[in-house]
Amino acid sequence: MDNDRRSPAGIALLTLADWFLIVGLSAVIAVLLALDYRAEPGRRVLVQSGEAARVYDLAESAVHAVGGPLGISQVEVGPQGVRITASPCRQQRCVLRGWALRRGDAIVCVPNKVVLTLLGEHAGIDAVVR
Amino acid sequence: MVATNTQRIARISLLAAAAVVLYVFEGLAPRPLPWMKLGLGNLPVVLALMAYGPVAALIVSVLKLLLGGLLSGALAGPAFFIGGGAGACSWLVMSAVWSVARRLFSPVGLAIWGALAHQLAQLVLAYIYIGQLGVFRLLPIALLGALISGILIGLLAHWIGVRSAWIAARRDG
Repeated sequence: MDNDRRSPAGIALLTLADWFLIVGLSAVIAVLLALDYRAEPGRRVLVQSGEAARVYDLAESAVHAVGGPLGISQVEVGPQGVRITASPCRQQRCVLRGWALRRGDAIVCVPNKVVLTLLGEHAGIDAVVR
Repeated sequence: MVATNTQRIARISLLAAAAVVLYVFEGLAPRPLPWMKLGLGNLPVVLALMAYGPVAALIVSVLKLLLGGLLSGALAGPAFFIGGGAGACSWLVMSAVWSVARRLFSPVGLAIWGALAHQLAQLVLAYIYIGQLGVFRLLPIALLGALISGILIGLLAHWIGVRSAWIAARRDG
């Protein structure tokens, strides 16, 4: 066996191609996250479920019931953003995701087919739905 | 060291069993970041690929999804098809990288490719299921998850490979 050729732990195990992959992927992630982070707080939220799409103003605090294939998802809208407070899905990832506030942020519940996307003041639904 | 056929079957079965346990365990364990899965079930798939090649990795991956789905009650739901399709893409990409560029990448690179394929396929399949482009807003988080998961799974695979004669055997051959 030639196991001793490789270090059992540590960075030395990474190859040049590994580094290119890691650095390249990190750069893409950094750019995408920076673009998201620089976005201003959203003003409105686009709520999509199945065929229906509605836009709510974040200035008006409210809880909306959004229907999906599994049942009703409760969507709370307010100045602090938007979140899903209750969902009939199994994993509850959308609920645990918490608040989304910045323009371009999204909360997606795949099982119940609910997509919440924060919009700015002017961007129309078209910018997202297309 | 030449493994007999029986040894190979036993070892692949062990990896498959480990994959099922990790897959189910990960579904039950609390997560520091609820929207992120580390994909621990992918570790035995990577090990099977390193030790015995693409076919063994496919066997482990399919058994993980079928038995894991059965045990966790997710079998045949939309999450199962999305996870299954993503698992298939992950296997395909890792097998391709392993077959073509095995000497170029360490297990870490291999696992990152697999995690990347898994995350991207998951987004595309989620889009096909939901039909809303808003799904792709999750791309940065998905890529970040792939990087973290790939590095972690790759390091674990490397360390296990270094300590296990029969997994390390194939890598340089």
